[in-house]
Amino acid sequence: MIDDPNIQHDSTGGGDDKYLYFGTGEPDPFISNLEQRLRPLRLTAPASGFAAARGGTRANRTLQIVAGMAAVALAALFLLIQKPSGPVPGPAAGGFKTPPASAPFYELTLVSGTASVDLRPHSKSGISMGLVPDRIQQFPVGGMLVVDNGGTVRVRINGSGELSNVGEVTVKGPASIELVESTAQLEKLHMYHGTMSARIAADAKPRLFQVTTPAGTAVDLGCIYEMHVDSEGAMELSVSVGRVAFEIAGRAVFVWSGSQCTARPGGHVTTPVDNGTTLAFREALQQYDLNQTRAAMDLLLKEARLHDAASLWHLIQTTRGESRSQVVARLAELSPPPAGVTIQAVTQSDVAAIEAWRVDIMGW
Amino acid sequence: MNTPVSFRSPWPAGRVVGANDEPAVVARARSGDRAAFATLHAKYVNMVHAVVLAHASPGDAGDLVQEVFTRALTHITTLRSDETAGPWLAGIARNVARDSVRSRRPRADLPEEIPAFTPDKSAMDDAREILEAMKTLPDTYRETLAMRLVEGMTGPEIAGRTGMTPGSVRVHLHRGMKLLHDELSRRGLLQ
Repeated sequence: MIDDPNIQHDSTGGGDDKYLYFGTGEPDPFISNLEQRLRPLRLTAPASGFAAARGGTRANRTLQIVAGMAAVALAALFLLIQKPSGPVPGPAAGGFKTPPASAPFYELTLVSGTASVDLRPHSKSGISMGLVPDRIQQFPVGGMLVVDNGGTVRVRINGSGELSNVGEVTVKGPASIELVESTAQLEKLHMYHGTMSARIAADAKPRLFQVTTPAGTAVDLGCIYEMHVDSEGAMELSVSVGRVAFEIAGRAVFVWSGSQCTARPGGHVTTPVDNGTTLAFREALQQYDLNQTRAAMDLLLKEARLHDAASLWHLIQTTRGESRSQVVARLAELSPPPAGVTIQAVTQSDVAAIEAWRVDIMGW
Repeated sequence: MNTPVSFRSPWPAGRVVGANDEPAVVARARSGDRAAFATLHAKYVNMVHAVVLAHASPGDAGDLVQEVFTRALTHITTLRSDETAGPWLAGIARNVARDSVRSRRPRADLPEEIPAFTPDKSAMDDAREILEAMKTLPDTYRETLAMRLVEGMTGPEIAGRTGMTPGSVRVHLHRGMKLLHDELSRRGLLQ
């Protein structure tokens, strides 16, 4: 514990310790103003740009030596990345996978602000490359993209399989994202925190592109979506076009076009809700997600309308007994089950019947 | 959306700055392994740049950083294998920067009339003025602030590279920011 009155009471900008020390959280106006104004002095592209930074100076010879050594180191690093060694401990996926020799790199383009690619998981030595505007930077498997506060980076997902361009992700800082896997079967990022919008090619296979977060995994089923993960790992997912399955603790929720859901570590996920629903239903659903009381259930069933059918369908999975019967009955009023699906089968947890009803409601 | 209350490092404990691996890298660098030296360069170049900026002219910083690594390369055998390179490189950077300031001739060819106010002051001029204000602070504060504000290093990164404890870095940042705020205010540079 540090006993320093300046830390308890920051008189410079009114912010707290987190932004000054960790560089995350709500930016302190005074600090971020200084960061912006001092940026012209920052050393750019430290790992690879050192040699190009100064030419024809008294240190020209040193420049050549160090540039040569940097090239050797980067070459060694590249070999290390390609080396088929054992797995390195990694994020939620359970370990980094060694990319095949033909594994493509993702491509990073700095749109605004500052960002860097960190290759520590493989190099163990802290090699970090700053992104430079108008220059594409490679992003290998195991690399960590760190986007500073106010920065934006575009990530082109070069596919390993039949599709050369799986899509594009735009990352807004502060953010930390790791490229976990890039194979013909799976393109996987892990988002520790930050904000991203993903635009996945319409002809990409469902489940090809996935983003793991501390709260769960967003599995692309063909769409455009936005996701935010805060520094506590809490996630907010909003789908603009298409659909996403968010998988958490052995369960999946389906987020459709024009809907959203939130989740936090520990298996907690809210019921997806349509953006166009009534305020009354939204509030009733929030209340039910927070504390599953009979009163909250009664209210949300009363407020449910036709475009809330997909939300109600999710409640079939999380309710039991009389509550489930009520949900099924109300859902049947709003969107009757398709031919071959009976109320009784659904109430008795017939997986095929429940899934058939979902497809009938959501259309996919 | 939950309000963030604390930052959790995405890196497994002990791997934030590769501190566990550094003795092996230093040992290889001492034995003439240039790739190992280049690894040290990549890891510490931002810290060295910040230390140089905290003492010398920004216009000389690029050359001085090169000079620091030249000296380091020449004297790498004086670095003990069980030592981390950060404090050692910071010491070299401090000496190189101070030597450059001492050896710099005072400019006698200033123009007779110096404009008191330049409305179209460039971003670089503004950055230099802030840096000059920063240089009035004690060494440890100005270097730590340069690493945080200029190079964008986080507190844990600064601690990992300089060898300071996280607590010391925290105190230096807070006290330094307060002093810098007062100095910028005195110079009319607050925005």
